[in-house]
Amino acid sequence: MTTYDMVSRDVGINAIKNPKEREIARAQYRDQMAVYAGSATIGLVGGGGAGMYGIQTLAYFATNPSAAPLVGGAVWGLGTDQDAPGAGDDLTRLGRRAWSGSLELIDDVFRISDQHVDDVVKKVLKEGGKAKSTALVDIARESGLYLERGSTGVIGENALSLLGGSSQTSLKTTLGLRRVDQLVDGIAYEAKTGYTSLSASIKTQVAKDAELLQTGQVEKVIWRFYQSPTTGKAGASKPLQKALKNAGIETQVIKQ
Amino acid sequence: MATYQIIHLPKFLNRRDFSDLSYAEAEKYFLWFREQEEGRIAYLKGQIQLYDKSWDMDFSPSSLEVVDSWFREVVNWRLRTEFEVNKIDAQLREMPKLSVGISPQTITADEKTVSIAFDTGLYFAKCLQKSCESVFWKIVEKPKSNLDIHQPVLADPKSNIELNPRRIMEVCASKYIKGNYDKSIPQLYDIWKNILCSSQVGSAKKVNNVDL
Repeated sequence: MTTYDMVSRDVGINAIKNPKEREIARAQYRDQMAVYAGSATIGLVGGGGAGMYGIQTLAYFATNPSAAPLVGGAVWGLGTDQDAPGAGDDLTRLGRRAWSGSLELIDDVFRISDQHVDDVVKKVLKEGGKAKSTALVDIARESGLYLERGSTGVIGENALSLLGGSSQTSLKTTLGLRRVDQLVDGIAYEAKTGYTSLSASIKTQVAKDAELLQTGQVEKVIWRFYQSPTTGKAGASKPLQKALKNAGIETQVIKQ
Repeated sequence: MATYQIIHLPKFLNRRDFSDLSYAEAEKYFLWFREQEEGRIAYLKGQIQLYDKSWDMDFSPSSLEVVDSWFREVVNWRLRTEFEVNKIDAQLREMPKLSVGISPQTITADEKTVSIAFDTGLYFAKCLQKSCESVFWKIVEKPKSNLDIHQPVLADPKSNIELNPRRIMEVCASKYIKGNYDKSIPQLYDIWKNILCSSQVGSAKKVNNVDL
């Protein structure tokens, strides 16, 4: 079975018994894919309509280790399908463009290898962040396109599982314990309310967080600045911003 | 890599958080953990030599170069189960105001990767022990909020920091899965060696030389 067949099956085309109607449906699907891919906006989950098929396409090749060449936004069989023309190797570029919301596959031909699939997944996760990768996975799950990777989501009985995080947890540093407000998915979140300056105690916190990053104890540190309910202010002073940047700490301002 | 021998935990630990264990149970786990070392490292050796026949498991810093290349190749992900997502959601609900906009990732390291991180952590620790004779395994007893509570960690009598190599390797795997290679295993080794080796007291300051 070609990849094209698999995708066709996934969108229900193979369920059409009449060969003529099936061919028409395939052609329509191909056109649809091409059109939607052109206007795809990755990150819009479950929106249907424009963008949906583009996302599905990306989700498909991002999650299918044996994926095949892509033409005009549709997925084609590997080699055996006469409709599939020769393919080029530029999946990373494709991923980047798809990610930026300008997936224009109409004139492009791509051949996907396992390594490229890995590259795209990594790139998407790295550049797109959590919300967008969630969108990808959700779409892939909804469309039933997961074939191998992540196909079960089931962990074995008694099997070793990843160490988790928790709220208000502490980690050891050479400067003493660092209490973290939230540790989720290897990301340490520090919450600050109101306008925050680089005081001595804040300096120590920054240094501890820098050490957590340096020693590989956390994947990321994000400081979140919440608007003060009394002053209405939120954020870091210039020196603090500089210190956080130098330490590799990300910042977010949350206005509620 | 087609297969990798998954580690199965002792039954008393199944699906329980380390923080929920009694000290006696933590000791039991500690013994089990130490018993795994030899066999798991031998298994790891076989796996890495399938990748690079010439790899010499001599616990040297340079041996970690190949470990790192192999590790990059083999780490992988899976979808999170609903149970896992719900667990993180519950954690976030403990501090709802501070958790605004934070949501659990839908993917995580797969079973093989978790076992690989465990085994690689054992090898990483063994390399450090070879360089720093004073470091030893211990159980984290306090404070209760410590992320490594009741887990085996490498410690040094003169250092106030402890290393949970399994956790470090899990973080490393998670970053590699996302294509983030900012710190390799040999680099992590150098950093931890500087911190842990009491013969190099003061060098830990290097870790904190961030320009504030």
